[in-house]
Amino acid sequence: MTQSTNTADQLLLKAEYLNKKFSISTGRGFKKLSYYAVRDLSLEIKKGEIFGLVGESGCGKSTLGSMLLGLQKPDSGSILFEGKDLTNLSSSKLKELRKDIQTVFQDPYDSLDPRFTIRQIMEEPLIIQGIGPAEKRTEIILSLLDRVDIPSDFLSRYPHQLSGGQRQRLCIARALTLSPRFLILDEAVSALDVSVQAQVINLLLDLKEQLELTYLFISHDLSIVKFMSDRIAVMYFGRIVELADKHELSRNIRHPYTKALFLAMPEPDPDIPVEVNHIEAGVPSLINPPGGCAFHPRCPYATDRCRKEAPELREISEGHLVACHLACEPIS
Amino acid sequence: MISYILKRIISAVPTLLGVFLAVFFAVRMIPGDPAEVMLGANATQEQIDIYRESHGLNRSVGEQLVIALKGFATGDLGTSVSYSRPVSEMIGTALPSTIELALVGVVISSVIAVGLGVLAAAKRGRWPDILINILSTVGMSLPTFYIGLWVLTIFASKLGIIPVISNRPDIPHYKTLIGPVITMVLGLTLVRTTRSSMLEIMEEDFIRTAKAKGVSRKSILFRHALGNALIPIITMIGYNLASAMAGAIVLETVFVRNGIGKLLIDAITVRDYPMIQGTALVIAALMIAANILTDIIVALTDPRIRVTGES
Repeated sequence: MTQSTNTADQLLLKAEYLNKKFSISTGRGFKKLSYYAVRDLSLEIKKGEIFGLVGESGCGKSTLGSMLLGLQKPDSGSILFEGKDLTNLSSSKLKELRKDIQTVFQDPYDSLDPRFTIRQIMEEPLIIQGIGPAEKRTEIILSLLDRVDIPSDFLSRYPHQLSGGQRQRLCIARALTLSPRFLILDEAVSALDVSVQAQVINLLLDLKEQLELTYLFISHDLSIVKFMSDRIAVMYFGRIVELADKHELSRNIRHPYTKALFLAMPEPDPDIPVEVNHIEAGVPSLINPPGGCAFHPRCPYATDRCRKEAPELREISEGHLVACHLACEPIS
Repeated sequence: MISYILKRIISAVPTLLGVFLAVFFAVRMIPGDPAEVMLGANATQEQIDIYRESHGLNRSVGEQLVIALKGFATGDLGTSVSYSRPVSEMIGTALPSTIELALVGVVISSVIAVGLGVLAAAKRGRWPDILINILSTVGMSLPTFYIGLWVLTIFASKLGIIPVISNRPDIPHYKTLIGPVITMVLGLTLVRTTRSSMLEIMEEDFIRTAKAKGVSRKSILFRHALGNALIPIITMIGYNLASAMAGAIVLETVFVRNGIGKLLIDAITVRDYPMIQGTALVIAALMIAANILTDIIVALTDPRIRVTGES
């Protein structure tokens, strides 16, 4: 294999036809209902990019994230991380994988064990991977805490003694202990207030440059995804409905759902006239999904074809994929 | 922290006084005269009068109350009417065996119950969970004396491992503990608390973080989940310890084992007023002590409480 000169285009992760079904109890007898959280989803993440994934709550973003982390197994489909399939790894191989893929979750208050000191939180993954001796581990921990701007005398403190921003920076430092190459940031800044959010976003961007990381940035907040990401995938009802480079996506929206999400972004300039959002609120039932295109009940452009036939995700221009029957022309 | 403990101990005094007064009046409302009970049906009026006078029973309730309160304030629990020995001395002899039973029983039954609770939580919805749930429901629903009688029937009569009557001098001491401890274990009081507390913690985000860190399942269960589930569990253990002091009344009676519970029951039978007051007071004091101890341990195990307490 030859080393590609263009590292930006090297593939880091490739997921194909992922499906994940959950069943829920109806509360009436033993009858269970099932629904797809992720359906026939494929995506490719390139080395060194920030891949944004946006969608409203319940669309399957986090399920996708946890499958890519190996925390949940997909029902079908494959996930190739640098050519290795993650979906059927043994537990020892999975442990190896933890070094490469790490994660930062949404809630910095709940995602840290309240009974562990900061040293214990940081040290645990190093001990699991057999990295030692203790001095070496301390050195790694201190250099990471320094990177995220947490004073070294915080080592013996507990999470509750930190502010929200400090906690999330600690979560980021913790995720970096094993020098991973790929970070899944699942709503990593959503629980923070706006000033702290900006601080953490900047930290994430700096770390990405310094440590040559690749991010999957999952959020329901399109304005942050747009700011952070190189490419953006819009997810609806367990599927990707539109995927493009962020500049292409701002210029040339093809899916009505993406359009609605962009319109829902608050506009800081009061002189720009506000366009009224034209889709109806309310996600359809996951248990009884609408036939055809899942978006048709909320879509102002829906035709008979949309009600009957689910659209495939297809490429309409280079790197711009849309799943809509009406995607031939940009939406006005 | 120390001022908090002192505050708790001081606030226990009015509680104890309340218990003391309640018991004082309650025993005097029980029908039956102590002198008649003690001296039997054939006693003459003269004998009864002498007895009453020598034990201060001929004084008015008000006078008796003043004497009793004086005793309460000075720590003098009076003299047993039936044994003619100081109540505090009798309690002093009986107390170690009750505390021993309560501690050994609570420790062993807690370890077993917490183990079963963790197992049930780990196997949620599968057969070990269902089985453990059924057993703990049955154990919790049955009264202690009923379980105790079954333990006696099986382990003493059928198998002959433990004595039917424990307070004989020829019985090795450890054997007197087996029956009551098995009874306490079979109560399975902690299983449900442990299970629900574990399941709640297992849903927390930091458990997901631990999984993402690559922490092994065992370590997730015991270090992360059980560590955090411990607070309600310790509270419950403390409650069990407190109620084991009072529960000794039942266990010591069923297994005929010497202890403060048996002392109380015997005292009630012969209307030994000072003895009833003294033992009830000591049992109440032990329960309060167990509660304070629990609160301190909970505070020490939870870093969120511990650290604020220090600063």
